Amino acid sequence: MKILVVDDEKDIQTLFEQRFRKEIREKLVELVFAFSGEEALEYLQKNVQEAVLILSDINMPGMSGLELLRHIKEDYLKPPPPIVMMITAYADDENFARAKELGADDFLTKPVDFKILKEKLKLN
Amino acid sequence: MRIFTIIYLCLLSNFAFTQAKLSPEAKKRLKAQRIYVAKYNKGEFNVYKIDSIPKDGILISRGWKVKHEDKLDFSNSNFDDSKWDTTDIDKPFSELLPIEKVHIGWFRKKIFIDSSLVDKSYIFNIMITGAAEIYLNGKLLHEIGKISLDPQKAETKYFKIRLPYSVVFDTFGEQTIAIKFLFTPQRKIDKYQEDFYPISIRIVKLEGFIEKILTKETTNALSSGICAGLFFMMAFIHFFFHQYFRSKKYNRSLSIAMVLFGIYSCFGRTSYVSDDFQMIINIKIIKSIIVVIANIVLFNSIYEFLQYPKKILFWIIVASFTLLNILVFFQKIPSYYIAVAYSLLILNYIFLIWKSIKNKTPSGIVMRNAVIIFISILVSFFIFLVIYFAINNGSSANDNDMLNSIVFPIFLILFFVGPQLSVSGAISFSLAKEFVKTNLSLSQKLEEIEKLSEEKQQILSTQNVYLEKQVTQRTAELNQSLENLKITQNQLIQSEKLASLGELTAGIAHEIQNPLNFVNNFSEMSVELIEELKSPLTPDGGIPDGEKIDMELLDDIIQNLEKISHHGKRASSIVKGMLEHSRTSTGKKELTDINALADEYLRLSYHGLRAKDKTFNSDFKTEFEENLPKIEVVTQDFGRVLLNLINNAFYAVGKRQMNVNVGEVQNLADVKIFKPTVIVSTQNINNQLVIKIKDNGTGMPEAVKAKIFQPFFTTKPTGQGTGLGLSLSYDIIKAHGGTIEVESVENEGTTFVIKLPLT
Repeated sequence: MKILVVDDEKDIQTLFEQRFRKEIREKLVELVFAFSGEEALEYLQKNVQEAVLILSDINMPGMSGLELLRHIKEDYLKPPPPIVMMITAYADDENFARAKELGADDFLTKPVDFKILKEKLKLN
Repeated sequence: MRIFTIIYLCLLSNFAFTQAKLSPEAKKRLKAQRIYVAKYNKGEFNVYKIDSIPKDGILISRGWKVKHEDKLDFSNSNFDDSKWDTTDIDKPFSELLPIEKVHIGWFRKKIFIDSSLVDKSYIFNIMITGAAEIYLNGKLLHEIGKISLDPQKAETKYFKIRLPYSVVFDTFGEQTIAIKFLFTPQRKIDKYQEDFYPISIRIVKLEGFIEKILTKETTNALSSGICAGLFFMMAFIHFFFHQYFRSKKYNRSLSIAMVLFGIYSCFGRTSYVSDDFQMIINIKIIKSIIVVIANIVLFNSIYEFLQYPKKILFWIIVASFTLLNILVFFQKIPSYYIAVAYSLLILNYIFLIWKSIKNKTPSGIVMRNAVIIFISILVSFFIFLVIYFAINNGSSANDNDMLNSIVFPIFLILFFVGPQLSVSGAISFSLAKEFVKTNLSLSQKLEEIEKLSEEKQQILSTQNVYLEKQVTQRTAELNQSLENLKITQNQLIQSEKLASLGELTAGIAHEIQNPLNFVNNFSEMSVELIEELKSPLTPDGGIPDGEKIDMELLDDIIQNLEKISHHGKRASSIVKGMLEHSRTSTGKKELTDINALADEYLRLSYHGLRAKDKTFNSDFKTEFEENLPKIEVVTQDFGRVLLNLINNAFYAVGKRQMNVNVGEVQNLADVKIFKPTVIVSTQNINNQLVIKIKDNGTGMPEAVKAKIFQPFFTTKPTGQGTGLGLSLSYDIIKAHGGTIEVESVENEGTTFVIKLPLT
């Protein structure tokens, strides 16, 4: 499973690589990182079919995570669009509702509980 | 003249009739005489029989024989003149035979003298035009002028008054009066007066004659004098009025008219005193001119006084009056046309007066008063006359003298001077009334003003005291308000700080959240990694064969711990920053890295805004000069400035974004994708630190730009901004010796530029 992680904090990459080291070693998961919404879109356009799952932060400078979500869900030509899960520090109803509106598949709060995340992914 | 003669004689005969003191015989004689006189005047006698000479004398002018030839024996008593022409010698020349050239002629008359008249002194009262020699019974009595056919030698006389020549009848019975007369052509004489006649003789008694003449002439002179005096007096009064009442223009005109009339009156009967024909003519000319001018000026002044416009009628009358006078003077038309000329004037006067009385203008009222005055004068005079004659009926022998010398002249004066006098009197009265009224009202007003000013003074002084008290009170109140305002201002500044602090809180919370997350995560991760590292080892720490310690894991753990440390420090510095921010400024300058400061506050601001408004999003960039030297600033204050500017920049781009979303596209560039961006840059230019905070937000119009640094000025909706941010920033930058400026284009963006000296 290819996972695209979108977050402006660079240390997220280190965190995810460490948390998923077993899975990476076992080639269950392949992680790709983008540090802005624009970067993520660029990647998606280049590698159309490949990202199955996208994990995106909401609060980012430039294009927000929600914008990115909208772009993915609306502009993605070849169905089915990838699964997008939103991760954010602001766990309030408004964000949740908006994400749901835009077609987010799931909603996670920071700090990320990786156990739950892994369960969600295994189930997927 | 004829009329007056008749009146005289009628009155004379009346009084003669009432002379009760005469004897019946005398009465009878007088009666006979009266009849004779009457018959004589009718021309029934050629020889005039004289028994006695009445008081006024006897006029011998009828039934003279005339011959236009000169022979020596024409003076003889015995000469037979029955074939001669009969004429009256006091007929005007124009009615006598026309005189073609200078020649000598003779008049003859026989009269019959009663014995009672013999050897008594009598007077021939003669009026003459020409030269004559008077013969009585063949003897030369008198020479009047000089008779000569040679114009150089001839001396003609012209007298309008009667001159006395003595005569004594030394015999009774028939007397022959012969007059040798020098006839001069009419053209020379008649040119100016129609009523010139050759000679007129009246026989009068000596006694009383002189008196009579004197009285008559005195009266004439007196009346002329009185008229002149009155006119000059009126002239003076009107001149005085003209000086004093400048507004009443008619006074000047009236004054001039009065002067002219006065001069006219001065001449009086002077023309009759001189015997120089030429001077008499000259005086007559002057008098005629003066009286015409005087009347015209008077006419004009009445128009001015009544404020009646001088329309065509005025000029027509003036022209006709002048023309008529000229024509009469040059004898082109009969002399009664003078009456026509004056009637024109008088009719116009009546019309004007009636009109102005009807209109009830002030001048009309004066005119009415003048008319009243004049009529009262006339009426009272008549009443006086009536009373006088009623009382004195028949008691005085001097009645006709009184008539002559007093009544008649007064009549003349009244009619000649009266009207003007009434008008002047009425005008004077009205002006005097006006003057008194003005004076009274003035003094009244003055009193009122004095009283008022006293009152005003009092009011003023009480007002002053009151106002002074008020001022002191207000000043105290103002001082108090000022104090309150200062306190409030301080409170506001504090709350502004708190507000910005509040904005920060959310941002800070977020900012701390992230590092803490990493601290937690990496800590947890590290525990897992150590577990994994431990797993192949024996419980007492031995490494079984074939097993190795995963060095990668150890590296990861080190990395994690480093990251934990890093993020921990990060959180700590954020908290420290927040604490510093909440503390009141010490004002102490410290060496600060502006780049770091700007970066920190940029992020703080961004996250703070995001925390407040979920829909807010913007890109931000930093363009920091590398190796920017540290600068001495009051970190907290300066940080606040940067924070404020960055906040404003994010607000502006957020607003523009909202406009785009809502569809209010201000800029065509927004039709494409609008990317809100805030750029913070630092530069070292000419030893000046230049910090720019640039945004591509809504921008500002000129009007807003001008006020942007003013305290309490904000473009944000009510409750959203204190309006103090930029003004405080301005003060802080100034305190650091720097400048802050703004460049902005509406709907394109704004850039704030801070310059600080780097020394």
